[in-house]
Amino acid sequence: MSSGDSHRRWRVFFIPSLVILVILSVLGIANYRKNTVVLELALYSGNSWGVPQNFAYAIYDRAVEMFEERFADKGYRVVLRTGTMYKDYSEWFAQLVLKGKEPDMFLLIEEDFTTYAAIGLLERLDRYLDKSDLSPDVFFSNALEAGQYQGSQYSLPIGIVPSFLIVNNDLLDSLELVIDRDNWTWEQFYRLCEQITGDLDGDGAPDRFGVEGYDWHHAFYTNDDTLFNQTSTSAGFNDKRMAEMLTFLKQMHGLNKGVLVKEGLFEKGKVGFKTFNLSEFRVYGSYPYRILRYDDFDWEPLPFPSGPQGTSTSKLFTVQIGMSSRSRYKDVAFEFLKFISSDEKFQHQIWEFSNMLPVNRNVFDSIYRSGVMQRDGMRPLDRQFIETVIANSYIDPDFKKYPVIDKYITQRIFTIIAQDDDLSHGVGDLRQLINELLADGYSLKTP
Amino acid sequence: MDKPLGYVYYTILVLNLAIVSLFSLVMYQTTYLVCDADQARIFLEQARYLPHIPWHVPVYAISSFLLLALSGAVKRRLTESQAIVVFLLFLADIGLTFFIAYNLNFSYKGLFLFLGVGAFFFIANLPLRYLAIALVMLGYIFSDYDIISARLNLVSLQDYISFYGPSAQIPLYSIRSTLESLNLVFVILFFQFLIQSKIRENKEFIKVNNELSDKLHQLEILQVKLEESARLKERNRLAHEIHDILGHSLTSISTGLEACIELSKAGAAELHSRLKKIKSVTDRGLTDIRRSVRELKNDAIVQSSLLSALQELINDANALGDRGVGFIIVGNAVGLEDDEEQTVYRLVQESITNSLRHSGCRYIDVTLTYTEKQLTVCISDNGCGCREVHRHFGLEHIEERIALLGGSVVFDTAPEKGFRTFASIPLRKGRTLE
Repeated sequence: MSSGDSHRRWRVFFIPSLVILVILSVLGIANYRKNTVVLELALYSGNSWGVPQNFAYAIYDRAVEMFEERFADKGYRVVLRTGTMYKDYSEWFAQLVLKGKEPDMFLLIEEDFTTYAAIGLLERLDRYLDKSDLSPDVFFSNALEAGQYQGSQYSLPIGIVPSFLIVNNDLLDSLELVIDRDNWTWEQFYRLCEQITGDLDGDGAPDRFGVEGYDWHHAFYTNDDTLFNQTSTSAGFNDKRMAEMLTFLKQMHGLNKGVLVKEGLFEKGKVGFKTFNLSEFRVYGSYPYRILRYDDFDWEPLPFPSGPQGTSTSKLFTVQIGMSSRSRYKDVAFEFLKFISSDEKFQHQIWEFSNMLPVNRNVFDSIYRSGVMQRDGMRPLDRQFIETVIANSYIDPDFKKYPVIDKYITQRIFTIIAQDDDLSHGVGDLRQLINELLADGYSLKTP
Repeated sequence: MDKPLGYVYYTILVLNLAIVSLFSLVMYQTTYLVCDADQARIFLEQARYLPHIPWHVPVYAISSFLLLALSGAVKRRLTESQAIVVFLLFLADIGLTFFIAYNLNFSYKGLFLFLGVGAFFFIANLPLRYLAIALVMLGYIFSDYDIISARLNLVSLQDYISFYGPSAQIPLYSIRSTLESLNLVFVILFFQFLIQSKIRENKEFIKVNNELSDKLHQLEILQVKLEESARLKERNRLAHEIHDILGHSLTSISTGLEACIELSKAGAAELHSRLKKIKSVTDRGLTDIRRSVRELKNDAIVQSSLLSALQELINDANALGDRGVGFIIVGNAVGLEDDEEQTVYRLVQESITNSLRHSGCRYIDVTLTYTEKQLTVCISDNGCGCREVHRHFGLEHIEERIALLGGSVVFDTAPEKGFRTFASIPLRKGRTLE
């Protein structure tokens, strides 16, 4: 047999077997990928309301466990991508997006939401919601609205954290002050704070204060609705209401005579009111943390006082989850989104494994009815109260520049109320500042 | 297609490959630089749209471009009869180009110019070519970033380049615009070469056309020659026939008659004188036939040259007696074509015969004048001449034959002034002396 012959025979056998091998492996891989759905979920540790949470990922581990169990027959798997702090999450996640390696599903932080919905990273969920049996009524509507952009749903809420005021009842009692809850306005609030504020040690500077943590946001939203116009391209506040707010804040500022209310003074019984949120309430309002703080006096939650032209409202923190428009398994990803946001069994776990409130109203309802709160030794939290707070809550503007613009506004308002005697210029000043900041390209730097 | 045209086409191809590679690699590399600089979130904010997955850009764009080049190579191998296949491939090219443009975020339109050049280069069928060019033009118009971005949500190349500081931006922008301008320059060069090649093709066409009509003319002349040759052949055959059959018969009759005359000498004087008369008629007939045969055959010039044949003719005329025939040659005698020689010979022969028969002249002059381009033949006598020229068959025939050669003949005569025949014949080609 010549070498040419053997060469030909070798080719006759080798090439077809190579082709068959390639086809088989392609088919094999395709089949494996079809049958094995592995979803990735990006998480941050920490939260937007700044209350430390032990075992931050525990709730998500639980969600994955339950989800995989639920869809065991289909073999869905979810892998968590963790290890990023809340403050670093935005950049970390943006890099994943740029490199095209973003996970199928991810938690969203407020300031990223609008951008990701606008650039098309977030998959629009309307179609999936229409197909599924999920009713919007299941959710607290404000929480659902936080995931909407230009009329479409882009993310679903997992849990919520409403915020409110708490009041030191013992202090007010000792001063014989009574809150008229039916007429809970700035005016009454100011009057109470004025009476609480006092110089106990006689050094000329006040050492007992009306309120801790109250800032312009609380005042603004209880007298007006929106700071920006609908498209977030210019200022959208009402001049008269803004002027009222500035006047009110200037009065409140005047009470303290320039002394800053240090954090922690409320705990020491030296402050009448304090801004608070549900997460803090659950940590410090229940055993064992309640013995560390706020245990020396009687306190209770209270809504924010309303301005002359507004109603009582407070910020609602939510945790939102969305899915990538580039995910290969969008239907499965939506199943997970639906599961984590609405599944009653899982939503119960929100209460067990985190300091948030479940976003599913039925679960919220059953928690109240089951007596779980009493079991956890929690301070009583009136259901009517918390439902009203949630219903009247507002969501922070969620465009990228907002956090920076917010800092500018805070600084300018402080200047106005601390320095200007004539507040009439202040309103125009603020409007101009906001418009300039919004118009300015992208070179915004933190002031 | 022309070679230079091919070179320009391949230069444009390589240039576009360079541009596509550069743009896609810049987009790829910038993405990672942005991430390294922790500017990813800001970049996404500025971009306004979701960027491509970085590795997709160079891989998709460059491999699609290589497919485009491959399609070009295939199109070159296809023949004109496969115009539909070429056109279908071209449609696929447009699709590929849009895909590349999409991957480059429609930041580069020059690819459509390259495609337009390809339409001229590959598609020979005119209606299909115009359709292809129309499609390419549409592509060129609508592949604009500003038009497309609103619909397809694309990040512009500008956004990528603006990430860099001015020190890197300036060279990047200059390279970009240099390459794009070069592309334009070569596209213009391509069309310049295309137009040139078309002009050259036209010129060649005209040249070939002229050559063809020349050849046709030569063919006509050849036809005439062939006819002449056939006629000569037929005359020879006739001469042989007459000589062999009629001549032989008449010779036999004449010999017989001679015997009869001898026999009749003794007897009947009347019979003798009658037979003598018949004999003389027969002899005259025989002489006529011999002369006729000689005339038919004196296409003697078929074997000998014109000049010696003429000389013989003139010698014969001189031998007749009292009349002198002169023969003069002026210039360098050159060899002539057969038909020319025949014509000149006939002309001289007919003219001499006419002079001998009708003019009652004392002498005849035959002059042949050779110049570079023509031959003039002049036969003149000093006979009685005539008031006007009677164009009997002989003269008309001569006129026709000379006209066939592109020459002319003039007869010049007056009472008591002699007769002069003047013919000029253009020489077809210069010939050396025989």
